[in-house]
Amino acid sequence: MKQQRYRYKIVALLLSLALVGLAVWGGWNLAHYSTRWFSRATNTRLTAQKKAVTAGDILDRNGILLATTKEGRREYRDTSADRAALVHLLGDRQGRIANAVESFQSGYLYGYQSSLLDSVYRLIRKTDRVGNTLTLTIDAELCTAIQRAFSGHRETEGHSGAAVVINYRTGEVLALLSLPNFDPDQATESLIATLDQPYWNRATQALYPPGSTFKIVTTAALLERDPDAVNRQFTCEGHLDLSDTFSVHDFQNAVHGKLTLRQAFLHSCNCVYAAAALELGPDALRREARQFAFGDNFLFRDLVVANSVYPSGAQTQEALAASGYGQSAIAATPMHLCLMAAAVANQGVMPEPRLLRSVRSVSGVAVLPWSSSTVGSVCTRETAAALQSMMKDVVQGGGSGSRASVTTLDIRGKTGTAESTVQGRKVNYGWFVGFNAQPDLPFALCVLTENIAEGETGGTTSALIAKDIFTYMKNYPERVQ
Amino acid sequence: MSRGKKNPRRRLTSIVALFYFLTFALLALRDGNVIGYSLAVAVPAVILIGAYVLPRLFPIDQLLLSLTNFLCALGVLILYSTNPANAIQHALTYGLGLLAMVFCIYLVRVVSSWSRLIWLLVPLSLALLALPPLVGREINGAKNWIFLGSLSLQPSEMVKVALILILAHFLSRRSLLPLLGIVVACLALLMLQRDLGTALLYFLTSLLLFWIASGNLPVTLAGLACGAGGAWWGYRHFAHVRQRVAIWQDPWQDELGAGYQLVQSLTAIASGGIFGVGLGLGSPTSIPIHTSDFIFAVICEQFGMFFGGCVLLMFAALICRGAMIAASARTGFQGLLAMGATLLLGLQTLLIIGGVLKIIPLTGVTLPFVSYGGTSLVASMCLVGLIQGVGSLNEDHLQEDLHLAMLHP
Amino acid sequence: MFSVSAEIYEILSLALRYVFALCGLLIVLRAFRWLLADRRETRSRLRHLPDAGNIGDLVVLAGSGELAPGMVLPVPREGVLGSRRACDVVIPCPGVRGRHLDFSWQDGIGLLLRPRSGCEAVVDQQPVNCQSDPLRAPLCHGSCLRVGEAVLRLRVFAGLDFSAESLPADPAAGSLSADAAQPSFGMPLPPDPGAVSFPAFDPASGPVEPFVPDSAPAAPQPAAPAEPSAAPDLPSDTPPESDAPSAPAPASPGRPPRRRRSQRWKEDWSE
Repeated sequence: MKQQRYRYKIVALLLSLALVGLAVWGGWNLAHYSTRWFSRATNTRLTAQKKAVTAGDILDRNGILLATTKEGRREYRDTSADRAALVHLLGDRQGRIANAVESFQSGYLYGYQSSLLDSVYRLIRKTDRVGNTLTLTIDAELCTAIQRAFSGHRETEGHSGAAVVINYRTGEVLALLSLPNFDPDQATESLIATLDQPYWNRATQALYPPGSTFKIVTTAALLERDPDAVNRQFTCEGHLDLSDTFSVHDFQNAVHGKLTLRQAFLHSCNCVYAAAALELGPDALRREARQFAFGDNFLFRDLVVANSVYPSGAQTQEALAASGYGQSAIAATPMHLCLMAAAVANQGVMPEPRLLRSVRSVSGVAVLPWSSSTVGSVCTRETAAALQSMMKDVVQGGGSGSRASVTTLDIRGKTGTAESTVQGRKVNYGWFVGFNAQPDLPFALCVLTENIAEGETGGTTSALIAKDIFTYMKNYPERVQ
Repeated sequence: MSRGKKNPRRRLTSIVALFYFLTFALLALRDGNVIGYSLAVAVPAVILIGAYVLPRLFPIDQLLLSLTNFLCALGVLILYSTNPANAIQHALTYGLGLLAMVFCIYLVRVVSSWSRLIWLLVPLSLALLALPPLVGREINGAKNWIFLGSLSLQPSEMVKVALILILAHFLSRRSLLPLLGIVVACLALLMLQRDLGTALLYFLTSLLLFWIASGNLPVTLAGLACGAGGAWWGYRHFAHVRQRVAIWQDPWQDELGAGYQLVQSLTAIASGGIFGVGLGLGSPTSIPIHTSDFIFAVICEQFGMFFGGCVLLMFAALICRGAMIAASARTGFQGLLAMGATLLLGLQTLLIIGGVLKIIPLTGVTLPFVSYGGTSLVASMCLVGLIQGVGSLNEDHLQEDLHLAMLHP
Repeated sequence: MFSVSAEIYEILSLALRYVFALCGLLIVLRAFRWLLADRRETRSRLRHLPDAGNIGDLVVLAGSGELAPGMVLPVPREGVLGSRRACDVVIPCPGVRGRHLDFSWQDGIGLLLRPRSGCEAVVDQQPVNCQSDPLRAPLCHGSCLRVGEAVLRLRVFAGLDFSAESLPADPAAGSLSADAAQPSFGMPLPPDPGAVSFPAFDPASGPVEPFVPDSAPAAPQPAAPAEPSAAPDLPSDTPPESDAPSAPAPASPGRPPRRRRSQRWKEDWSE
């Protein structure tokens, strides 16, 4: 009987804890998933709300009007180029671009969760129902400038690609661009049909192999294990034979000879990194990739970003070696790589990307207060500092990223050239991830150029765009701060 | 001694009455009809009467009565905000439920030889469970309703009460083979009816009650493994089980088809936020089955997740009280009876809330007391009546011991 | 009837949702506070009644190991006897299994024993094992029980078979309380069996006469019909426990009629 009584209490405690756990879980889910659940097209509340309420305005960080409703029709910016630069961010009229601001933030845009003050204000002023005004962290002029840069250089003209610019201190997203894009007002169906996947937001939804930019992760793994690995000597013989079918080569079959890790990073030597990956072993590299948020379920509040992939399960030696320089089944979005650069710049702490700077209701009340948060710590401060100095060499010390350097700015970065096959065709991607190490312009970026020609690298294509972006920031600091 | 009890009861009852007065008054302001205003007066009045008058007439446990009052009135409130006719029906069924509760209290107090009753109940319940596949009608994919004229009954709910009596009786005498036979027969009949949620409920309750009674952990774990094996087998062989698991994992695959219920429920919870969209606002009718299975989603939409959490805590208080009563029971049978009823209510709550919040696949059980179904409400009140019967016996014994002690210092 | 416009209703509803959330919180807090207050109160009542729920004690007459003669073990209404500490009656003696036997009190009959499989016990010279019918060898007041190497005697508390109301006005009760030798409820007697007139235990002797206080009208007697005594209405105790053995509980002949309880709890349940 005594034992039975004891068991009653245990079971009751378990059940009560389970119920409390349910309540807590419900709350947690609400905090993380509510926007995603709410902004679906099947939400009848939203359709009803849209009929009754005029959508609010969307402004960029400098007050430029990006979208507004005039006489029942949604109007965007004036020029075609401006509209095209923002279409993946804001959304097109038919809602075919997934998770754009106009659909994802429709709860705020249509004032679904109207506050008490709003209702009172509305009653007193007898105005029509208008949604909240969203101020984004985006600089619209920067988006247009990036688009111009892509078409301005011979190497990147006409290519698809993506660019993400983030303030690595606060996590604010300055620019988000995906090419090809189109003007939502003027583009015809036939024109859109000629473009290559124009509805994809390549910056946040498409996964690509990171190529040599993944060497940041491999280097971090080496440094975390041994902080003095920066000066370790490696030997590069131009090729590393792992099996009959697989052999690691460097770009244009260069032979580097004896070099330290720092120099290997500078020259982006694949052989050294393959050897380093084999030495680290699959578990250490996987652990470091997980630290850098590969395989994390990204649940950002303002953005939907596809999860990056690091191959799980057992890896063959070839795959492991290829992982060392980012060519195995690893895949990441440009946004994630930008966050990686931001983490290195921010002393090893990866910020959470934010898109909404403020949300104000018609009565002027701030509905959503600004808050920045972090994804987590990806590496130690010392590792981040070492990586920063290595990335400085890449851009300012005669490495592959030298085309990205800007005078009076302290640009640091890493280039990457990834090879892949799409539908049987060989495709090359050019990457540049980098940041400005000055505290008054704390910006990190990632530029991707798809389908670059043979012989071109990230350093000859994406780095040019990066230089233009940094130059814009140098010229217009008040716009981006 | 009695003074200490007055204060908590008064404080809880007063705030519950205030809450319902405010809510019904608000809804009455929206509708502007007589029913609304009369409910705004009647419901708090009934709560007050129930809290103060009923315990004088019958040996009722006041805390349990207050909790069930609160939950049933919440059901009336939510049903009224969507469809007033349902609310009146629910309130009337609650009256019937109170009678059933008192009946069960007396049943526990008065019955001297449980064996005869149990041997009568066993074939009766098996027969009741066998009825729906033969004469019943299929609703929502499960064939567990029978219709007597215009009255619809769910035998599996009625058998729940009998099951607890049977379980407690056989477990307290440690005659496990007949028990195993009966439970397996019940489960088989329920599987025939495709009422998998209730089958799961019966199974878990029996297993947990067995562990409580015997303390035999290895056998309990073996039983759990058998259950898991059975679930796996069901998953492999029944398409509708596979479908339920698929929409649990990703309901948005089939947003407008199979996953519609879950998607609408999640959307409703998301649109509610922490404090809800406001009583009477929002669109609760867009949630399918918003009167019974998904009533928690309606609560979360109108009142918010915070209030939803409070409702869950009220169920937790119910469980704690039931366990307290079971722990103070004098005999093993009474303790198992009270604990079994508590377990049934608690597990039912867990299953349905878990399904609504997408933690476990939807199982098709309803939220006790709050959901609309008549049989379900009466059965839950019977279970509470059983707990209260044991509680009143505890009180009797305690009073007696006190008197004896005072008499022989 | 009176109703408000949609806008005003919306404002009211939005304003009141915080009130409702607060109400919900208060309701939960008060419900739990009531729960805790109840628990505290029950505990304090039980503290004044350390023997609540017990039907008596088992006095150790002979034992080995940790069990010294003269020790008194309280006996609840129902439980398990064995050598494990988790049992309700702990007999840490060799020969006693971890969980040796289950016992339950049956009003009017005594303590029914059900040994577990492979366990044996001796009740007043009658051996019982898991197959024997518990009703044939109940343990009554004064009976001796031998398990393993331990020998114990059951002492049932007074007043167990009759309720309390009758006693103050009852002439029989007066004689009860006057009997100082009566084992009293709630206070364990000194272990010296000489204080009560137990016959000395002699294993060789025949079945021990159950100790019946002279004036106790209806001490539990196993088979003899209980005489309806001088007390006007001798109610039986609580409704018979439902853990009767498999045979339907026989209504013992001459069992005193049960009394309606309505009067009792009207007094107790009113606040």
